[in-house]
Amino acid sequence: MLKKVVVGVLSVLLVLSVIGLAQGSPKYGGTLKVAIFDESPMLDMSMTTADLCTLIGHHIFEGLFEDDGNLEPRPQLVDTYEIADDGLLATLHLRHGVLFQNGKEMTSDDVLASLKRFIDYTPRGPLLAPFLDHMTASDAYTVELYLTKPCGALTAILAFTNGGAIIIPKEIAEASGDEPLAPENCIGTGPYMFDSWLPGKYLRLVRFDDYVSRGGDAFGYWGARTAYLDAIEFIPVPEVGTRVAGLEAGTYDYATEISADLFDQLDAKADLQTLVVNPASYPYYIFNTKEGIMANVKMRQAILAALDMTPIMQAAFGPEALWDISGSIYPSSTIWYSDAGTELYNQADPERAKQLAAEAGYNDEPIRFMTTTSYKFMYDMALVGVQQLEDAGFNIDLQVYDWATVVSRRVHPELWDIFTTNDATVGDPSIVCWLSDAYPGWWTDPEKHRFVEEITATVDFDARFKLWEEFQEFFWDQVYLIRLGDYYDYYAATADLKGVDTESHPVMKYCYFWNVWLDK
Amino acid sequence: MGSYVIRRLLGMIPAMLLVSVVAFLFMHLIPGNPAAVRLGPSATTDQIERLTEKMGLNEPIHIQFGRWFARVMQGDLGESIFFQQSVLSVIGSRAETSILLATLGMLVVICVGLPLGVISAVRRNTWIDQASLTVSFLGAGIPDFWLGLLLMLVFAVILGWFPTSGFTSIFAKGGIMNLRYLILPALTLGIPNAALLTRLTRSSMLEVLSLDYVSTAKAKGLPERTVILKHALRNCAIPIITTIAFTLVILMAQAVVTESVFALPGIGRLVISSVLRRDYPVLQGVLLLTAFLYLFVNLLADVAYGLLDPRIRY
Repeated sequence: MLKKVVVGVLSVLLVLSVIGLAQGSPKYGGTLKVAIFDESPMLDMSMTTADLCTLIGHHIFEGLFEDDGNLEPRPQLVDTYEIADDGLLATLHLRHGVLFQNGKEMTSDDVLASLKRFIDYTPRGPLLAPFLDHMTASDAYTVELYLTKPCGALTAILAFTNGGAIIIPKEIAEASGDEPLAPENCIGTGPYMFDSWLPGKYLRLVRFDDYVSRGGDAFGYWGARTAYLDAIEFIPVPEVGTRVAGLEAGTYDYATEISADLFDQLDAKADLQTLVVNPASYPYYIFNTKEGIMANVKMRQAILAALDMTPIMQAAFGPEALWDISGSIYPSSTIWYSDAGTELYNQADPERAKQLAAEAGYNDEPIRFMTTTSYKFMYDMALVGVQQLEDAGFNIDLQVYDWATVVSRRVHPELWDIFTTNDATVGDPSIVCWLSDAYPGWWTDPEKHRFVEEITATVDFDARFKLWEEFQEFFWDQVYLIRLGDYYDYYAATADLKGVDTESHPVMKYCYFWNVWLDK
Repeated sequence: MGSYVIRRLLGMIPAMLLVSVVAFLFMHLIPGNPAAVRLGPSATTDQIERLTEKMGLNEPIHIQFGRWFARVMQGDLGESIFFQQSVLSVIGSRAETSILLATLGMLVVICVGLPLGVISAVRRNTWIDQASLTVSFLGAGIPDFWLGLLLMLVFAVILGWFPTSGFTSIFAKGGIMNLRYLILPALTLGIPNAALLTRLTRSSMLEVLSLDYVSTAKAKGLPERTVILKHALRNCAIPIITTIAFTLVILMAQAVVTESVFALPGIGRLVISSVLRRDYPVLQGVLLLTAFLYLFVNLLADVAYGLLDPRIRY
């Protein structure tokens, strides 16, 4: 027995030392140069849902809750919290001694002012607004949220990074109103703080020396954070070839938005590392259910029946390491994964498609299918899908625009029938953007409302999951959109960047540079 | 000459007015809403509408134009929707890169194109001429995107002589040495234009070299160098100067691809990204300044004709 224990302990030590050797011990210092594909419209990450803003901003700001590596919300600026039995009161106990980057300590007043601004003015505010009756501070470190009805997604909404409910000093929150924070007013509690921004050249963050870490464990965006780097520079480099060449030449340490066809080439290089994002995102075709030919559910079912997902995903995302065929709305690495209703996904049955189209009374009317060349994968996934649909007898009018034009056209129901887009996996079903009635596609089915309301208002996870499975069956039957599969975005970095892609620091949608260091 | 310059300057006013109207109308004809770009993909229609209203973009186009034009008359090009800074400061922050890049590109054009064209003409139908013809055809035919990536691969990634990208300013840390970031872009920009200048210089020189006065100059025993550089080249100056002048504007305002490939913060890239972001005020500002630049360079070229050719009088 003793021998087994000794062998066991030695094995664990060996594994740990191998991991330790591979990653080395953390080092302070250095400037990380990150090549990004464009500029962020602003630094105030609560005022826009633009991904680039979140990617930069979440180094400066923190939320009351943050998602862990499995997208489960966990307390970050909050120490502990309770939800009353009737689900109508959430009491948040804040951590003591947390400092803003202007040296002031965070208290309940700052949290109240920040949440008020979030609800009143930001794109994600409407997620929380219908649930919140009022909020009060019972002392300097306790905030009480009184709800109009139970909200199973409360912590998920507060943890949602993109367009997130950031906590900023009260004075700044109140003075800014509905205007985005100017860069010099971007004062958060995060491990890095704003230093300078030369548009077109770089945006520089530096270490916040007085950062107060949560301590303890870290997993994903949640938990203890240490800023090892002196500075991070986000440099707009529009051409993917230049981002990759710069990475190879050592001009940059990290590059985002790299096309799938370069994955194998970069993966094979010893001095670089490819970092595959998990959980996956998902591309989809979304239908106009408000007016036009696709308002007919039979037509949507016909389109779904015709599609063979493998060639579509292959054309759009290339190497098999970067995509999967899956009809579950949530990817397999999340707690919401389910195969309920997925027998209707990936039928690849043109004959059935023709039959359903005939039942729908389809008479070769043109189907207006919008896509964009701004995102190559969207264009590719449209081309292959359109070919399959034409082979199944549909008359497709493919309309190709730049993304800004798609965004402006898609709000007009008279202009389109289908368009291509994609979404990142979010922490909770109730905050999935296309579930909103207002999202272009205008899915206003009363049955959908019932599901969304029940899932949101239910607090117990098992009951919520059961509802979600029922919803997923309904989703594939009604075909409001066609989820094509899972795709894994990836980043590339120099091998000198350590601490990334580990158990506590998984690669997530928005790369994050706390708890990582440069070993040059 | 003085009154001519004044007349030309006054003539620029209606041209600029026309450009401003056309620029404004065309910008607003493009579908797309800057408010949606600023708020991000998940903003609700209601929020986008509110911001659109706040930005004044929902008003009739003639009212928007009137407001914009009144400000332009006071020297205010408005505020960038995306950067939330004045358009002049956005353009100003890009101007250094564009001016330096155009200057270095122009050096490449003149130092390569002009001598190659003269030598080609003088050594007509020899292997030198053939080689220069081939090189200039290649130079003019290579897409600048491909040339840029090729130069980057060879001289930055493989040989490591130059950085791939990352120019900020010659006033930043590194000072004048930061110009090394601009050498590969200047070559990318300069080589195709140098090739065009080579062809133009060669054909102009051939025309002049066959004229009687050149034969006379040679017959009276002037050294060949003097005949070519002093007598022949000067008489080719008009088309060459025209080309150089417009190449300069092209290098400054249209270096879109080169600036994108080398991630340079110049005006060309600003134009492209402003189109994608529907940042109307920046686009209008850049179009106005570019139009002014064209007209001004045109004027300079005309003045230069007069100085170089005594037969031209205004």
